[in-house]
Amino acid sequence: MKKLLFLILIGITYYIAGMYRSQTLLILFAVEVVFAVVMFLLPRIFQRKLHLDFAVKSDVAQKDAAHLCHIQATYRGMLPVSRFRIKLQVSYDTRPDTGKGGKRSSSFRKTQTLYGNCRHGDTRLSFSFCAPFCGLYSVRMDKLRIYDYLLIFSKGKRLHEKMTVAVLPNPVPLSLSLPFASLAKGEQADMQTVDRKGNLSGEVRQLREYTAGDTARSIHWNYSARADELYVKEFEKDADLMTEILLDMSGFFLQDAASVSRFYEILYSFMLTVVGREQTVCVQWFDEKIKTVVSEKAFEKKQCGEILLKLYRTDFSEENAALCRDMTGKYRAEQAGKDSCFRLDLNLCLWYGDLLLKQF
Amino acid sequence: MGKRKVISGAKKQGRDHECSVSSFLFYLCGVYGLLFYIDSFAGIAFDRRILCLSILVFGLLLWFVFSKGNRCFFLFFLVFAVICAAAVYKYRQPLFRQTEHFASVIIGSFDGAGYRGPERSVTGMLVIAAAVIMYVMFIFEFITGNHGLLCLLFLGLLFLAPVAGLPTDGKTLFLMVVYMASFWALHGAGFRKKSLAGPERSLISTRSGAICGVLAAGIFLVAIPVVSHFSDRLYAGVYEAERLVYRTADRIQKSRGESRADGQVSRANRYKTGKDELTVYLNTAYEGDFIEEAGSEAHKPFSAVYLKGFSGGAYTENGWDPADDGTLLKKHWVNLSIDEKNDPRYEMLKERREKMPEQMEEDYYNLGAFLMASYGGSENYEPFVFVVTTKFVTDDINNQDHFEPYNHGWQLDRSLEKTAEDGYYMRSDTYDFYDQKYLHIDWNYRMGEQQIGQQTQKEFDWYQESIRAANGSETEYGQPQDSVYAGMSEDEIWNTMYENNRLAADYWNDQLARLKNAQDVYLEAVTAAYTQVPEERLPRLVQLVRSHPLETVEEITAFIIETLQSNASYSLTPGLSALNEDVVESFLFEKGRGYCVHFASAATLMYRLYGIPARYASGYVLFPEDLEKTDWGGQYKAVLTDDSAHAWVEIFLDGKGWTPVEVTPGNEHDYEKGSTVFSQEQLANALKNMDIPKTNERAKPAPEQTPRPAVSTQSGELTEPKPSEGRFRLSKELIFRILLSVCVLAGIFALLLAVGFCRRFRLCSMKKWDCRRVYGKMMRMLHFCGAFREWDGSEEEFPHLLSQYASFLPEEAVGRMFWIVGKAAYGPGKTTEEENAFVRNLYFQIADKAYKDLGMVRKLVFRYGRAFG
Repeated sequence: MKKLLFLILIGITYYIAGMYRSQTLLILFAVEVVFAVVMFLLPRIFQRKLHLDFAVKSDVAQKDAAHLCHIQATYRGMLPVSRFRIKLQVSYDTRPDTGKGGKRSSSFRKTQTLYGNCRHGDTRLSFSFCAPFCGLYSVRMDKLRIYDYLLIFSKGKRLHEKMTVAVLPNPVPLSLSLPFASLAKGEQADMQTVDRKGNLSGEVRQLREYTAGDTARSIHWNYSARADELYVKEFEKDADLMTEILLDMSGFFLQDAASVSRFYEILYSFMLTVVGREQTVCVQWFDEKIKTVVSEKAFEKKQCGEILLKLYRTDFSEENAALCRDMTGKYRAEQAGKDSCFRLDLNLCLWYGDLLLKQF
Repeated sequence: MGKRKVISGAKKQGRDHECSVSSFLFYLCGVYGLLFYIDSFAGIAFDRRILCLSILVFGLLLWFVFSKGNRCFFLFFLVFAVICAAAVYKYRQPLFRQTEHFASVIIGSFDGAGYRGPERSVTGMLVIAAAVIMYVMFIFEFITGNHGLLCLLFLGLLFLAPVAGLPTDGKTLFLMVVYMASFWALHGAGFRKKSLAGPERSLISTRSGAICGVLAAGIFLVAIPVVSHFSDRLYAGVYEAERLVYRTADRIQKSRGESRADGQVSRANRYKTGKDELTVYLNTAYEGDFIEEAGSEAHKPFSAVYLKGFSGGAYTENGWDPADDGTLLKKHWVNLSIDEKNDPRYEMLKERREKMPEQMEEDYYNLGAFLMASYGGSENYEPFVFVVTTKFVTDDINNQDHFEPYNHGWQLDRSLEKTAEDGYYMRSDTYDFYDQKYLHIDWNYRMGEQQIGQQTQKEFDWYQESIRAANGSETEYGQPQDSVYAGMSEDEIWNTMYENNRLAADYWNDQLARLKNAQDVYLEAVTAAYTQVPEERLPRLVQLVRSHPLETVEEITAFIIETLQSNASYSLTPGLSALNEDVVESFLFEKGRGYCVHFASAATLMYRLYGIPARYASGYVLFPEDLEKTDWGGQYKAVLTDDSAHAWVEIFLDGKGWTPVEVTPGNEHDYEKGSTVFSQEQLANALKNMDIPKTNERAKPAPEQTPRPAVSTQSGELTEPKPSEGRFRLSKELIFRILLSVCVLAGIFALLLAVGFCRRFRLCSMKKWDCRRVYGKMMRMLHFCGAFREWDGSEEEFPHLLSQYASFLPEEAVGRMFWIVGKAAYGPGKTTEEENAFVRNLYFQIADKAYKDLGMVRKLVFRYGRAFG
C-alpha cells in the first residue's frame, strides 16, 4: 500500500510539474524518483550484510516469570539498518522434536512480530518471554523483513534459527506430613516448609576446586585468580541422605499441557523439599530409548533443574506407553519395601509404596 | 490456560523521540522552508534578518527546554502563551493591521486576477506566528512523532504553488525536501509499536534521518542542472501521457466530431482527435477571363479562407462572450442623432430607428454584398460559391453555429437534413464569396454627369452595333421593331438612355451614401463596444501597449504580430495557467507558449487597447490545398477536421468591414502573417525602427518593465520593493551559490567524518588491548560518568556493585571479568584472546549503559572526545 501511495505521489508530482511547467516540482519529482530507487535497493543491500541468530541456543526460564532472551544481530554494513522485523514463532512441545514424526502436535503456538534496528558490528537485542507452562519451548525466527529508511520498500528473508527454552517451575517446596518416622536417619519426621537460599555466611571449612553446579557466590575470586583455576568456598559437609521417587510416565501422551506442567511443578517442588532438607533426591523414570529405568540424583536446587531438563528431553511416545507402564510397574515391584521410595504419576497422585499420600 | 501472552515486547527505554543536533537542524530546515514559502506571496514583506534570528533563537530555546524533560517543556508552553498573549495585547492594533493585510494577500492570491495591492511589512505578525508554528511543529515531530500530517501539509503547499501562481524558488524546495525526507526516516526508525529493547534505537534513528536528509540534499543539488537541461523532454512525457488518456477516453466515449466554435480561451493543453467536423464544397460558375486572371490555381481561392463561427464581444474570466451586434446596434441606433433639417431621409431613418433597428444590421450585412456586387463585379470578377456543411447533434436551427466566410454576399441557400449513418444533422449554407483583395471602395465616389455620359455612350454604341450586327435579326433587345427604342431617333434614344443612367446613378449614389452611413453608425457602435478591455486584470499588457504608442493600423498590426511571435512560440501543450493569473497575461508574460486561441486573444486585447475595434473570432481555416476536385465538373470538396479549427483576431477597417488578421505563427499550417489586407512589405516597412519589447524571462527584460509598487511599512515609510522571484533559473550566481554551499557542506561533512573516523579508530584499536587496559579504561569511563568515583575496581565487592549498576548483566559475567583481569594482573600466565574479547564485550555493554545516563554535552565528549564508546 505504501509503495502504491508513493508511486501515486510521484505521479501526481510529475503531472502537476508538467501541466504547470514548474521546474521546482520537476526537481521534486527527480528527488522522489531517485529516492525511490535508492530506497528500493537499500533493503537488498542490508539483507546481504545482516545476520540474525539467537545468542544462546538453549536457555532456562521460570514459569510465569519474564525471562530475557537475546538475539544477536551481526551487521557488516556501514549504513545503519533503521528497521527490521522478525517474525518469531513460539511453540510449546510437550514432547521433544524427535524428528521421526508421529509426535503429538504442540499444545501451544503463537506468532509474534518484533522490530529492531542495528548498526555496524554486533548488536544484542533482547525480548522478554513469559511462559505459562513448564516444559520445553521452541522459539524460532521464521522470517526477517528489512525496511528502507522511509519504510516504503522492504525485503524479506526466511530464517531458520531456533532456540529452546526450558521452563522450570517456580521453586516452591512442598509441605508434606509423612506417616513414617523419618525419611532419613537422624532427621525429623515432618518436613517443614523451608524456603532457604544458599548460606554464605557460615564458617569456611575448606577451599575446593570448582565443579559444575557450584554457585558463583561461593567462588573465591582472589584465590582463583592467583591459582589460575576456580576455587569455591565450602561451608559445611553435604549430607549423604537420599530419597527416591519413581515417576510413572505411562499415559503421558494423553495429558494436556496444563496437566503435564502441573506434574512437573509437583515433581520439582518435591525435589526442592528433599534437597532443602540437605538430602539427596533420586528421581527415576523409564526411558524408552534405552529401555531401562534411569536414575538421576540431586542434592541441590540446580541439579533438580537439570533433572527436569532431562525429563523434558525424554520422549514418552504413545507407541511405547504400554512398555513404559509395564516396566515402571515391574520396577516398582522390585523396589517395593525399600525405604523412602515415593511414586508420582501423571494423575498427580503421590504414592508412598501403595499408600496414596496425596492427590494434587 | 493457554491464552496468556507468551512473548511481550520489552519496555521502551527512555523517551521515544529525542532531539539530536542533526534532527534539530532538519527541523529548522522545515521552519525556514515555510518562511521562504510565505515570502513568495506578492504583497508580503518582512525583515528577513529579524525573522531568521527569531526563529533560530526560539528554536534553540525549545531544544534546550525539551532536553530538560516533558514537564519542563509544557511549563514553558504556559509561559510562552502568557508572553504571546501579552505581546498581542500590547501591539494589538499594528498586529491586527498586519494580520488583515496578510489575510487579504492570501485570499487575493487565489483570486482570478491575483493580489494587485501594495506590499506591506508583516514582520511583527510573522514573528509571533512563527513562534506558534514552531511550537506546534516541535510537538508534532519530537513529542507525538506525527510527521505524516506535516509532510502532507508541506507537499500540499508545494503542489499549490504552481497552481496558485506562486513563484517557489529553489531554496524553499531544498529546505522543505530535506526536512520531509529526514524526519520521515527519523520517525520510521523510531518505532512506536512492540519493539526490541535495542540499546541504540535513538542513535540509529537519528543517523537514518541524517542520512536521508543528506541524501535528499545531494540528490537535489544534482537534479538542478539535469532537470534544467531536460525539462522540455520531461514535460513532453506528461503531455504524451495526457494525450494518450484523452484519446483513450475519447474512444471509449465514442464521441463524434461536431462543428463548433466558441469563445473559450483554454487554460489547458489541446489534443486533436482527427475527427471530421466540417465539409466544404466549392463551386465555381464561370471560366474564361477569370481563369486567366486567377492563374494556375484555377477555381480555388488564392489564400486561406476563414470560416467564422464565433465572434467574441466582452473579455471575461472564462474567455469571450459572444458578440451581439443586434443588441449593440439597437442600443447605439436609439442614441443616434440625425440631422433633422438637412438629411432628406430623415423620416425614413426615424422610422427605421423606431421600428426596425435591425434594419441597420441588415444594411451593414448587405454592405459587403453590395460592395462586392458593385465593385468586385465591376472588374468582371465572379464570386466563388461556397457550400458549407456543418454537423450538429440537434435540429434546433436557431442554436446552431454557422460558419461563413468573410466578404460573402447574400446567403444563397440553407437546408437541413439528418444523416442516416450517425444521427447527425447536416446543415448546408450556401454563400457566394469574394476574395478580399478585390474589395476596395471609395466612399467619395459619385457618379456625375461625366460618368453618366460615358456610360450612356457605351450603351448607345453597343446598341448601334448590335442593330447593325443583327442585320434585321433579333437582337438582345428583341426584334428591332419591338425594342423599347423602336421608332426613336438617335437623339431620343440617347436621351432615354441618359435619363435611365441618371436615375440609376442617383440610386447608386443614394445607396452608397446610405451604406456609408450604415458603416459609420456601425463603426461608432463597434468602436465603443469592441475597444473595451478589463484593464485591472491585464496590467502588464496595458503597460506594454501604453509604453509603445503607435498611430497607424499598419504599425499597430506589425507591432502586435512581431511582439507576439517573438515572445511566444506555438505549442499545443503550453501547460496549465495558474488560477490567479489571467490566461492571456500568463501566455505572454510567463509561459511564452500557446496556440491560436492565446495568440488571437492577446492580439484582440492589444488592438482594443490601441483603440482599434477588434474581436476574437473562431471557426475553421480552409487552405487551398485542402480542396480536392470531385467528380462533378468544377467542384472542389474539403473535409475539415479539428486540425483546421482555428482562432484569429478580426479588426474593423473602413471600407472593408471585419477583416481577419493572422497573428499565430505557423506550426503545422503555413499561416500567413498579417492578412490579405496588409502585405508582408507593408508590415516590414511598418516595423522599421520599431523597438519590439521582451515580455518574459526567456529574453532579456526590457528597461521599461512594470515597476513594483514600493513597500509601505507599518510606520508609513516606503521601502524598496523586493525583486520578483520569477521562475526558477540556473544562473551563474545560483551555480556559484550551489557550489559554495556544496563546499561548505562537504567541509562540515568531512570534519564530522574525520571526528567519526578518529573515534572509530580509537575504538577499533581497543581490539588489540589486553583485558587490563580495557578494564582500566572502563574505570576511567565510570569515573567520567560519575559512578564509582571512590573505587578503583580491585575491591572484592566491586563485581557485585558493578553487576547492580549494570543490572542487565548477570553477576556471573561481571565476576568472570573480574577474575580474568585479576588473573592477568596476578596470575602466572597470560589471558587468552577469548578472555580478552569477553572483557571487551562487557566493557562496551557497560559503556552503552553509562552513555544513556549522560547529558547532551557530556555525551558528545563521551563519544567524540574520550571515545569511550
